[in-house]
Amino acid sequence: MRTIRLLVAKDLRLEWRTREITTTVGLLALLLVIVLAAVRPEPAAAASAMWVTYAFAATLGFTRAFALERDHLTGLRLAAADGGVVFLGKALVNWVLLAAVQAASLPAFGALFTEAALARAGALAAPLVLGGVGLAVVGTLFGGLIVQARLREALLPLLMLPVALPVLIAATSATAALLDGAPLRAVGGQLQLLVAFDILFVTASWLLFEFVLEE
Amino acid sequence: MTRPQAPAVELAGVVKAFDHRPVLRGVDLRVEQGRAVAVLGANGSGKTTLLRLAAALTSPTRGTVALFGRPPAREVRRRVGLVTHESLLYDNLTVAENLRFFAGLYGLAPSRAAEALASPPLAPLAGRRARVLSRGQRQQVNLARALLHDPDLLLLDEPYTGLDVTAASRLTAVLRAERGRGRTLLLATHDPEEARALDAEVAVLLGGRLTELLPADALDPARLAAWFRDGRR
Repeated sequence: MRTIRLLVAKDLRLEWRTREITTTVGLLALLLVIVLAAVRPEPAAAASAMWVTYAFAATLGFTRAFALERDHLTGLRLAAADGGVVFLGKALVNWVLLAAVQAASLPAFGALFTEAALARAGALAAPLVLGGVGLAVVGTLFGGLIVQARLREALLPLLMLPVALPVLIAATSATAALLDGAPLRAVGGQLQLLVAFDILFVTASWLLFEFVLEE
Repeated sequence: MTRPQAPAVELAGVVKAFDHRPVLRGVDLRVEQGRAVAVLGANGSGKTTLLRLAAALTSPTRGTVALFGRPPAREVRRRVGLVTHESLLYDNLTVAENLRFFAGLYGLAPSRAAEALASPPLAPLAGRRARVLSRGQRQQVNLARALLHDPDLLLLDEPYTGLDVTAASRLTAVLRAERGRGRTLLLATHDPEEARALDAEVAVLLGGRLTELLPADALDPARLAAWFRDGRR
C-alpha cells in the first residue's frame, strides 16, 4: 500500500505541476461533446456520446501517462517495486484522471443533451465509476505493454478498445437506461457485468504486469 | 575457517539476443565483492545489455546470472544501485522530492533522503526541479539516488558521458571513495582512462564476447583502438 501511495502521490503531483494530461484530455473531451451534440443533441444519444467521449479521452490520457513514465521504469524496477504494485498505482492514477474528466463533462452533457445527466448524477455514478475502472485497467495494462513501442499512440486504441468493448457496451446500456429514468436495480445485470470485468482484469493485470514490464 | 564470499556478479555462458540477433555470444564474468571492474567496448558492443543483465533488469537468452551467489530475484536486486548516462529522475519533481520518492520505494525513511541532501554538492540543489539541473549536477543527484539504499554493488553505465572535466574528476573522487568503503563497482565505458582512474580491472567486450580480466595499465591504447575499430581481437 505504501508503494502504491507513493506512486499515486508522485503522479498526481507531476500532473498538478504540468497539467499535461488534464489539459489535453479535457480539451479533447470538450470538443467531442460539442461535435457530438452538433450532430444529434437528443437525450437518446447522450449515453453513446458520453462513452465515445470517455473512450477517446482515456486512450489519449493513458498513452501520455505511460509515455511520461517510460524513462523511469528502470528506476522503479531497480527499487524492486513489484510489477503488480506499479500496475495498481498507474491504474489508480489513470482512473482518477478519467473520473475527473467524467465529472467535469457532466454539466456539458446536461446542457447539450439532457438535463437528466445532472439530475441523475447520483445513479449515473455507478456505471461511470465501474466503466471508468474497466477502461483504466485495460488501458493501463496495454499502456504498459506498448510503452517502448514506436507507434504506441496508434497502437493503444487498437489494442485497448476491442478488449474494452464489453465495458463500453454494458456501461452505455446502463447509462442510457438511467438517463431514461430507470431505477438503479433495472441495470443490475450491466453493473454486475462491469464488476466482473473489473475484478477479472484487475486480478489478471496485477499478476501479469511483472512480465509486461520485462523487456 | 571463514566461508569464501560469493562473487557480487557472476555471468556464465550468457547469451543475449534481441529478435534472434545475438548481442552477447557467451559471456563469462566474475566480479568479486569489493573489486572494481570496467567493461570496455565500442558503441553498440553490448555493454549496456551486460549491465542490465547484471542488474537483473533483463534475463539472458541462455546462460546464468547470479548476484551474490543467488539468482537475481527481487530481494537481491535491492543490493544493486545503477547509474546510467540517462537520468532516472523525474524532471518536474525537485531534487529533494526525487530522492524522497526513491527512498520511499526502497522502504527507507524520508530522513535518508535528507541525509543524502545534507552533503555539500547536493544541499544547494534540494529545492530545484531536476529539469533545470546541469548535466554534472544531474549526475551527482543520480549517484545519490543510486546510493540511497546503500547497495553492495554499484553498476555504472557510461557515467562520464557529457560531464566536463571538473564534474568528471568529482565523480571519480566519489567513486574512489565508494570503492574505499568496500562497494563493488562494475563500470561500462569506452574510455580506458576512466578504468585507470578507478584502478579497475578491465575486460574488453568484442564481438559479443568478453576478454579475461586485466589490470587497466596492461592495455595498450593503440591495440585497444584497433580492436574497437575491427570489433574483434
